[in-house]
Amino acid sequence: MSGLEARYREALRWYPRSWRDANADALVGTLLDAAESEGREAPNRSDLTNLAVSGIRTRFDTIAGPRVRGIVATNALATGVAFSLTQFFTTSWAPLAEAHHLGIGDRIFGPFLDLGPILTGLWLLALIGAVLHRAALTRSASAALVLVVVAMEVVRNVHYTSGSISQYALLFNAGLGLASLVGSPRDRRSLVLLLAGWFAVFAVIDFSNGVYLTQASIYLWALGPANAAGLTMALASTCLIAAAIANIRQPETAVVILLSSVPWLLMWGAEIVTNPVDYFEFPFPLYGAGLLLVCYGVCVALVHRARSRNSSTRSRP
Amino acid sequence: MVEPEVREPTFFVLAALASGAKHGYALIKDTAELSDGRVNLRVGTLYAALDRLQEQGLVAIAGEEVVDGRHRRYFALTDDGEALLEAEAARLEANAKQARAQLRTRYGHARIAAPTGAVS
Repeated sequence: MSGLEARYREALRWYPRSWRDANADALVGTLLDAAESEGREAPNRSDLTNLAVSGIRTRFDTIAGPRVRGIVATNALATGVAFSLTQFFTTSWAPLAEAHHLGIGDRIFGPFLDLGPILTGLWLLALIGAVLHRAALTRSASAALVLVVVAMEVVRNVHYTSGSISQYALLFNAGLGLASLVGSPRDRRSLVLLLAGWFAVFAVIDFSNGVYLTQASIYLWALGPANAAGLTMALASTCLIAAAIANIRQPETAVVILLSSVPWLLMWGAEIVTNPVDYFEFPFPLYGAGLLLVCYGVCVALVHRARSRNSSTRSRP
Repeated sequence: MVEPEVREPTFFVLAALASGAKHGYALIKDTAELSDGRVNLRVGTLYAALDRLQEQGLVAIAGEEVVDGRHRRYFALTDDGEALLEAEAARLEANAKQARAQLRTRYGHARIAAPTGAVS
């Protein structure tokens, strides 16, 4: 191996190992061809910089490529808009909350009972950006949403009022906001279908037992103290479905499911942390945490295995 | 879903592969030549693009060989890649046609406006 080749192979350490195993020889061959045509016997700085940048980007793409990130972002945006709009109509907007015979607190501003409409407005801006293919608008609205959530949490801790939003709802919004930032939610049809799906779920729940209207909070529906066990089981089941999908060598779909579940996982974690129970008398949170750890661990391992297999199959000429 | 626009480097990589399978360095040379020197791909960037194009099913590995101890991997356009290149070329042609039509209108207006304009 020449000195030049050794230098190039050293520079390829920026790339993930699985990628190097499949592509290093071809890439080094091209680098040597280019160096020979330019009469060089040492790598130039721009090549080394380019390899470092490309290698780091490949590492990110190995976890979740642009397509996967786009789907995760689309899921997050649709979920954020659906929950936020439902919360707006059932809880935040006083006239409608009164119509649902809910206990009405003080109006915080205008006809609103809490600070939720600020989040709803930002979610709608992000949605408009996605529908009009204005990625910058979607990104700005999502980033603003995350910052506003952080500000709301700080204010809530300093001065709790009846209009404050619960910690788990804030964390859920922050998680969804961050997830919508990881990619470009450009698929309008998927957005519409997901939104319709969520509203159908809310309608079914409402018509079957009126949970979210009577409790005035879909977040409580999703994760009240009484429902923590339900969400644990839902997350564990989601994980196992993702694991099964990874096992049939569809790792990207499994990654979409796993990443899309993160905001829910955050909300679950917030609930467990902020509502401490006597773990000796009621050890479910500990069992739940253990169960989720095992499920996510198994799923990540299966995704990794499926990717390695697919990668070795693809690189075979 | 609206098809995203094909970026210029991707367009020239696909165009370079239209004439047949090529290895990495041949692709770098051909893209530079086809773009009149505007697209000068670095090797890392080329392989990142080829990864993405393979994932999208537009390009496939066509074979490998070792020449003078140097590994060469050949890439080829798939049917989907050919269709995308064809569609993108048609889109660019339509755009160019529209732009030329607008320019002709502009020249027409200028000719009409010239005799009555202040500058003569």
